[in-house]
Amino acid sequence: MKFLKSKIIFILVISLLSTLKAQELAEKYLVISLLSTLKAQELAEKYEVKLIEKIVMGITGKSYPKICTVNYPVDRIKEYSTYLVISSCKQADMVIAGTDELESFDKPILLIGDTEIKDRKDVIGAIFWKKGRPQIIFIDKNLKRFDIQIPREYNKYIIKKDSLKYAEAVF
Amino acid sequence: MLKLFFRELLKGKISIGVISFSLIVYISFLFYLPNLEKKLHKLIVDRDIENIDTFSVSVLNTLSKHYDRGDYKILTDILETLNVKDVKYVFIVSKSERGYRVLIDASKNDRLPPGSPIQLLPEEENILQNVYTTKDKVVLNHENIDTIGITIYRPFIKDGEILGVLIVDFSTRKLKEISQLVHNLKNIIIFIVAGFLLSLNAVIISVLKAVYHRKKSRTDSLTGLYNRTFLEDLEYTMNLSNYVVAVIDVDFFKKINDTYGHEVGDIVLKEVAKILKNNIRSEDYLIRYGGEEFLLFIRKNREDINKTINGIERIRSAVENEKIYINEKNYIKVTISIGVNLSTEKMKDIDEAIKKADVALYRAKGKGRNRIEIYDEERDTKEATLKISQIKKALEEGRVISYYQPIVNLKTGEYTHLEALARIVGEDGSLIQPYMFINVIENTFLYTQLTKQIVEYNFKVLTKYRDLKVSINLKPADIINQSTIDYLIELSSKYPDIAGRMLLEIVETEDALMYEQIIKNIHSLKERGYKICIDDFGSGYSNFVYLLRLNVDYLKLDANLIKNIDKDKISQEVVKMIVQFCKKMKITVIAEFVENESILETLNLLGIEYGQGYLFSKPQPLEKFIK
Repeated sequence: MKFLKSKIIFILVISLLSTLKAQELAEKYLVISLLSTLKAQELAEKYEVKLIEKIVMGITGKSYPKICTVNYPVDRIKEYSTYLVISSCKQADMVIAGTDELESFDKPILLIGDTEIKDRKDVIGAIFWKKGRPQIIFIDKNLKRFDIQIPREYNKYIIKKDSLKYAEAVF
Repeated sequence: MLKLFFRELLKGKISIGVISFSLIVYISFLFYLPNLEKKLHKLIVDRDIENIDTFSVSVLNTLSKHYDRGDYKILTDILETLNVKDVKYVFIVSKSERGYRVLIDASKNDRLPPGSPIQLLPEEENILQNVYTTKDKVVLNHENIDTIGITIYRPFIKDGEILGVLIVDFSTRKLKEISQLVHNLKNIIIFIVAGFLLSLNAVIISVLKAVYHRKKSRTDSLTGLYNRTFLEDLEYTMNLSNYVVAVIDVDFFKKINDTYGHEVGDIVLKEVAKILKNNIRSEDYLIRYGGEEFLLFIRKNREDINKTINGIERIRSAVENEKIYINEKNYIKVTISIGVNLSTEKMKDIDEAIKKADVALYRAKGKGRNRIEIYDEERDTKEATLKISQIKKALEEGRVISYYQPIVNLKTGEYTHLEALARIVGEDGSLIQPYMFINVIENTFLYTQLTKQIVEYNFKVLTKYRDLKVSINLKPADIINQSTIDYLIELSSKYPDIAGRMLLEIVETEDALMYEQIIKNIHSLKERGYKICIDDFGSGYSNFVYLLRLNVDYLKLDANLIKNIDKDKISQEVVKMIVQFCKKMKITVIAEFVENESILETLNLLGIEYGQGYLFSKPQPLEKFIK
């Protein structure tokens, strides 16, 4: 009889707590849901950061490479990256930049965004979006300047030119 | 407690039922939502894709016809016909040495010149490879990226040779709309479910509160046992015939209270309650019925009722053998009297069952307490008491009379007083004995009325018969009742010569006579001429201090002391001592229960002057004594 009583009390307590929890979850869920509407591009952003992470780790060969960001939202890196460590540009292994108009740190720069790469010696590559798909290019001359060996899978993205120009039509 | 909880819960069963049903419906719908989302996709998106895909086949056919002309503008214009609402990008790619290049691009945005390299998503590269191999279309739902929703890949074939792959990217707008709709639905349902859960909890909390208050209202705060309120509930829920009813009374409880104080009285009640509780089973019910009275419903052992009686005896014995510590060092022992009603199946309700058990209890007390008495239908029916309404009617109709038993001078054999004994004349003319009505109305206003009527009746007798001396019986309750005292004083003022011929016999029950108010009232009655007699002295808590403080005129020895006095040396010694004391204090001693010559002889030897009993006369109407 005593066991049954304590069992009933336990169930009641759990039920009460679960109600409170359900309410909390419901509120949380609603907030997330509303935020998800606002963050329509969050999957693309995540995809982009994961790509940056993969490239930087591949290039530096480090498990926790240090990066700095210039004109690129650092919070996005913090949100989606597991391994990239944010540091000052002086100490960084690579610079992630949202524009090519930046001072020189004598560090390899990875440009992010749909921008034309000017003739900079420190920009080793870029990621930009075309037709909803990320496009990667690496500049051969600048890779060599930093003596960077990119992973083999990216070799097909290496271009010999100084700046990004689309190939001529096949016609 | 648990039973009570479920009973209270069931009271709100409609609201709980509605809430629970709604919860089940909503939660089921919640689990159905992913399926609903899929179905909506299928219904809306798949249909659109199907339409465009069908159209793309004819567009590609047209393209293949014009492809050889090499007019990029015409080719773009043809491809642009696929550029409908919700299509984001439409272009044809061809495989080259270093990946894929744009062959024709008719996209609304991000349009690339022909020959431009285009990097496809990793999963797309495999799909395109597949399309090149199988020459069949593939549809991909992009899950890792939200820049594109769904893509159709269809081979661009000319003369059996694949020139490229048509890529039609759909925007995520429609998908997002559907997802958002489902998400919103989910949110609404979660809120409703949370609301219902809260309501359910509110119901449970209110039930728990009700249970708590109900339990509190049905629990005696001192002993923690059930109280009379619970008894009312029990009447509706219990099958009385399955239980034996026992009324338990703590013997001499008033004495304990008066001697040790109410705090000790409370300790005794708590301890007795604890002992009783420890000796009953979980299916039995124990109720604190009154001050020192407990009510016990014991589940019957139908096969052997003796087992039930043995169980009750065990309870009595447990109380008798328990030391009740009233402080760290000292303890007292108490006993209980128990009246049992075994024949509950014959009772029409709980009240009747209790009343019958109470009759047995009354007998247990009369037989010396610390014992169990079982209600005997045959015997106790004869001793059945009147109902209060019957007594009230008798009082209203003046059917209360007195019978008389003479108090005799043992030397002369002449009676000096007549003891008035109350009787009720029944409606059928029968004579009803006092045990059938005195206890019924004890502590009620009818009792005061009865006393007054007896007093009035005897005042009339004394007015009529000037040589007569009458004694009437009063309880300490009468003496403390100011209305009765005022009435006696009023009559003595009205008939000053009569009070001196009236002897007031005050029953010596417990220490009640020690109360200051009683002493004061007795003194004022004596001042008015009434004679005072202490009745039943030696029966219980005989206290010589009464006799001194009350300045009594007479002392009547209890029947228990007299009935065996001719044989019992101890009784003789006790009586001898009382007689010596009374002679010194000038108190006249009367012996009750003078039933035979042997007792009379002993009383004479002990120097007792007055006596009454069947040897002289049984109680009779007044006429028998009037010459």
